[in-house]
Amino acid sequence: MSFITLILISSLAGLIGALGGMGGGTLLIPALTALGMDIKHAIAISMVSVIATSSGAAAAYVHDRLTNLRAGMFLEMFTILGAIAGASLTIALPQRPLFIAFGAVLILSWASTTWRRRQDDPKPEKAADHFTAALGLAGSYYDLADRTQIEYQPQRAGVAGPTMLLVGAVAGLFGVGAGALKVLVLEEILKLPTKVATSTSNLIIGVTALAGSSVYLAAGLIDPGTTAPVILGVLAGALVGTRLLNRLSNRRAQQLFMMILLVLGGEMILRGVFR
Amino acid sequence: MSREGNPTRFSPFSKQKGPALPTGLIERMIGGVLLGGVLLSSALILAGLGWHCIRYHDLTFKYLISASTVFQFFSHDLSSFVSSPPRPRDLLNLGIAVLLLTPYVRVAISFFYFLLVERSWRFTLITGFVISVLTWGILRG
Repeated sequence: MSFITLILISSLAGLIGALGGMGGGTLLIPALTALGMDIKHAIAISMVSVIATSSGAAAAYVHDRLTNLRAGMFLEMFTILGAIAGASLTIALPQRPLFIAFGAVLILSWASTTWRRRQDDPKPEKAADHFTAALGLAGSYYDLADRTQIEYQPQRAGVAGPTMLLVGAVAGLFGVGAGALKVLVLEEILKLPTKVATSTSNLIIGVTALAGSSVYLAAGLIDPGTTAPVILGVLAGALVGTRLLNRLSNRRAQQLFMMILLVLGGEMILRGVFR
Repeated sequence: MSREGNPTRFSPFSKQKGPALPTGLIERMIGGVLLGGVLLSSALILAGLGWHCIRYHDLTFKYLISASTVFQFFSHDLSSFVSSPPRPRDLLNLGIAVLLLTPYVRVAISFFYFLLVERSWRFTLITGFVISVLTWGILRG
């Protein structure tokens, strides 16, 4: 695959991913495989590029004190183990089930994002269980929309942790950040406010991606000549996408992204079935 | 539409504009390591690509690396960069290695922060576990 093709494809994946509030990996893997790249190489390359986009985003969020560092570090214990298991499974599996399962994950991401967007009601305040309280995960952040300091008390850390093992496995298996699933767990189980959930998810993604990447590198699946332009392309696309996001209608950008996600999910399943 | 209006669309590389809490030591260190790692990695990759383009009038790199751990990848690249005349691909590899090590350094800093500054044994254990698993991955693959 030529340098120009790689830069164009990865920039587009990063741009559309940023417009949809997700990383570039979700779209990068279908695009690279459509151009003839082996799915295992595409997954491995995408996993490295995830480190770049998530670290760039996490840096800003952490600096602004939106991230719940303690919650992130607690959940990382589980996601890294899941990512190592998931990446090891990818190496062992044949290509066909990988295509089908990746398509299913895209559709699942579409469904979880759509479902999450309908949840607008404020969550009831509850006292934390003993385990969560003992971890000291309570936090606060300044909400720009309301111009108030919001305090929150996470809950059910004992359930969120093991659930993150599965989310980490999905990330490692498919070389994606699995941000939609991570945010879902952080919001629905740990009961973090949406902004905190999104920023904490970014912190976790980088470490999870490193755990998965180390398995892929050891398997000889990371080709620097291909990986380097993809890193630059996805980063550049994400930067432009972020700038563009403020100028586009939220609804229109989201609808476009959701449609792409659904179509690619179906297309990957069909490619796996008729392979 | 502003991103504050829809927090689920919170975008990467953005900074909150407003009276947020003053950034603490750990936030400054983690934010600095993450941003510095991504910028250094991108600069090294760009330099490698630019050098390759000038030298060979081509942007395509045709080489593969054999299966290795992150540590071997980094140390081998660093030693070849120092001991022999450097090649564009060495810069490219170094850029990827720096990126791979960025989250690792972030966790290592968190570990020492909880151990030495905050003296929280719970989070020293938690970050200690994370750094141990990552170190195993980096050394063993």
